[in-house]
Amino acid sequence: MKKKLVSVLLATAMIATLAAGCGSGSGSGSDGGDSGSDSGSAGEITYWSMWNSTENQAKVIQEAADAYEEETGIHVNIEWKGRDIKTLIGAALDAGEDIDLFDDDYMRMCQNNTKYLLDLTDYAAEDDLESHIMPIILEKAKEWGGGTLYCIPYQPYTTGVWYDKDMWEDAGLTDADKPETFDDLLAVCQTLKDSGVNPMTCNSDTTNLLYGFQFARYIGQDAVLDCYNNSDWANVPEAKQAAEDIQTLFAEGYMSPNAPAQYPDGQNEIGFGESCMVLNASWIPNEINQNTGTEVNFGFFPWPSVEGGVDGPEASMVGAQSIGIVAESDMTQEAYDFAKMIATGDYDLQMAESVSSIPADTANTEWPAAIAEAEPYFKEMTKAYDWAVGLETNADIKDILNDNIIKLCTSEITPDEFISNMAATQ
Amino acid sequence: MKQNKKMIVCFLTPALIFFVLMFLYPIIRTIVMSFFKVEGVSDAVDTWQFVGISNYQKLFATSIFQISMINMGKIWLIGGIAVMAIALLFAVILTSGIRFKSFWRAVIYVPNIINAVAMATMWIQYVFNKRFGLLHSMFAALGLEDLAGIDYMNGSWKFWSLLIAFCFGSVGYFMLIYISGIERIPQDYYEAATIDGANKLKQFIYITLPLIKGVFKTCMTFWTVSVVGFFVWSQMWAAPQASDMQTITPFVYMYNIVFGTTGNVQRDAGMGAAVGILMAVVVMIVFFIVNKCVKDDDLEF
Repeated sequence: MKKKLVSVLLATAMIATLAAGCGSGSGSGSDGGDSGSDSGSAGEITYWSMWNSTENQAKVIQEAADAYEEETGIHVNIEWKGRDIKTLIGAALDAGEDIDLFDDDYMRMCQNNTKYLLDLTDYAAEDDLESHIMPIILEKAKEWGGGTLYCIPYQPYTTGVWYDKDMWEDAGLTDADKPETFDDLLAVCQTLKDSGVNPMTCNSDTTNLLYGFQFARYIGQDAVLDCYNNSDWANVPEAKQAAEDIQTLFAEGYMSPNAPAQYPDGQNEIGFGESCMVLNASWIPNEINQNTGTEVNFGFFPWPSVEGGVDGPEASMVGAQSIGIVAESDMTQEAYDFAKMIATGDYDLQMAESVSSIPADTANTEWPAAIAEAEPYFKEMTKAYDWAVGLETNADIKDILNDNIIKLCTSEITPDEFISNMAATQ
Repeated sequence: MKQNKKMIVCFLTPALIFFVLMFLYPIIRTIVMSFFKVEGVSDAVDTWQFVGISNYQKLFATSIFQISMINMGKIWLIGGIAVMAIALLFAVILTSGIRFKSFWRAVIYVPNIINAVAMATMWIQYVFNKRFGLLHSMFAALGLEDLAGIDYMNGSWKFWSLLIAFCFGSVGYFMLIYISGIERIPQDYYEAATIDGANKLKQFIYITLPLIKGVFKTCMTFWTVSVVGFFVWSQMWAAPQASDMQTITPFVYMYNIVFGTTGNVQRDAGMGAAVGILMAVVVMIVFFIVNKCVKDDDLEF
C-alpha cells in the first residue's frame, strides 16, 4: 500500500514537473512578450531585432533604446534574433507572442508580414514621416503594401560598381572616364589591365548581379522577370546577348583569374590591391575595409547602359531594412515613436556612419565618405530594381540560373548552352 | 498483476499524452497540410485551401526538386559506399590487435565531435580555397598548375568537394558501430579458423561479414536518415546564398520554399510539407528494402 502511494505520488510529481516544464517553456518563450504586455502598463515595449547584438547596427539601436528610456521612461526590451527572424516572426506572432515591433528586409516586411502589421498611414501623416523617407523607397514600400504604408524603412542600400580610385588614377583614368556604356566599360577594363591590375572581380554569390544588370539594361526588369518566370529564354535574344557580354568580361581577362571567387575572397581582392572594380551593394566598401584592414578610397558609377537598351543609370537596385509595428500591440504609439527614432535623425546618421551605409532620413544629407560618390546617382534614380534584378525571386529557378551563370563565367558552357539549359528549366 | 497494470498506466499516460501532442499532432498536421495550399507554416487552418495531390505533382515536375533528389541520391549511394567501406576497413584493422588502438579510434572519431559548421568552414577555407587552400598549395608546389587551378567551390567540382568533406566526417561514427559489432564476435571462431588455415581475408569474408549483417542494417538505416536530413553541410557550401544547384538537397529546398530566401518572398508551407512527407516515405522505403535484402539470422552479433 505504501509502495502504491509512493508510486502514485511519483507519477503525479512527474506529470506536474512536465506540466511545469511546459508552462515555463511557453513562459520563457514569451518572456519578452509577456514582459511587453505586462510591462505595457509598466512602461516596456518589446522589439525583436534582425541584428545580432555584436553588430554595429545593434550597438546604435541599443544606444537609441537607452536614450528613449531616459526620455520617456519606457524600457525597450530588445531580443536580438539575427537574420533568422524571417523564420521566427510569423510563427511567434501566430502563437500570440507579445511583440510590439520588429524589423526585417522591407520587401519581405511588406509582402509577407502585412497581416500582422499596423497601417502606419495616419501615424506617418501626423508627424510628416513620409517627407523623411527617400521617395523611391517609399514608393516601393507602398506598392508592395497595396498602397498602404506598413513599415518605416531604414538603412537603404543601392548597387553599382565600386572601384579603388587610387588604382583607377594610377592607370591614367579620371572621373571623366567613368563608363556610360558597356563598350566604355570594356575600354576602361583594357586600360586597367594594361596597367597591370585585374580590372574587375566578383564573388560567386553575386554573378547573378552581373548577368541581371546586363540583361535588364537591354530590356528592363519587367521583361527580364517575364523571361525568367516563363522560361522564355530561347525567344528573348537579349538573354543570349547579355550572356555573351558577361562571358566577354571573363574571356578577355578583364576579371580576376580567381573570379568568381568564394565569398568574400573576390571582393577582398580590392582591399588587397589586386583588383580595381566590383559590382555589388553599398555595404561592400565597409565590408572590404573591415575584412582587409585597409581604407580604400572608393569611387562609384552605375552599371553602364548598352546599345539599343531601355535602361540606364536611372535604374538600379534599391533595398532597405524596415521596422514594422505589430497591430495587436497595446503600445503602438510608443513603438512607432521608437521606430522613428531609429530610422531618422541622429541615430540614423550614427548608424550610417558606423557601417558606412546610406542615411535613411532625407534630412541627413551627409553620406559616409566610403560611399559618398554614389549619392548624386542615387538621387537621380527613378527606377528601382529588385535584388539581382529579381533573378532570385523564384526558388525553383534561381539555383539553376546561378549555376549556369557561374559555368558561363568560367567558360564551362557557351552562351548557346546557357540559353538551352535555362530554357529546359521548369 | 492488477497493481502493475495501474502502475503502467500511471507512468505511461503522461508520456503518451506528450507523445501525441508533441509528435503525433505535428505529423498528422504535416500530412494534412501537404494536400493544401498554405502560405505560412503557422497559418490558421481556416485559411488553407485544399489542392489534392497537386503539391506532389508540382514537386515532381520541378527541375530543382528533381536535382535536389538526384544530389541526395548521389550522396546516399556514392557517399554510402565510400563511408561504409572505409568505416568497415578501419573497424577491421582496429579490431585486429593493432597497437595504440584507442588512439587511432579517437583520431578517426574526432571529426564527429566537432560542430558541422566548424568542420565545413575548415574544409572550405583551409582545404578547398582556390588561392590559399591545402590542395591548391600542394599542387602548386608540385608544379601541377592545372590541378592547382581547379576551383573546388564552384561549378561541377562543388558537389564532389562537399561529398568528400561530409564523408570524411562520417567515417568515424560508422566505424565505431562496426567495431562494437565485430568485438561481440567470439574470438574462438577466429582461432578455430586460423588453426584450419584460413587467412585474414577469408576470416573477414566468411566469419566477420556474415555475423555483422545486423550491424550493417543498422548502419544503412542511420546513413539513410542522416542523408535524407542533409542540411547544414549543403547550406555551408552554398553560403552566403541560401542554396546552390550543385549541393541543394530536398530539405534545403523545403526550407527555401517554406521560409523564403533573400530576394524571394514567396512561401509555400503546403509544398514544404509535401517534401517532408516524401522524405519520410524515402526513409521507409529504404528501411523496407534493407530489411528485405538483409535477412535476420539466428546467429549474428
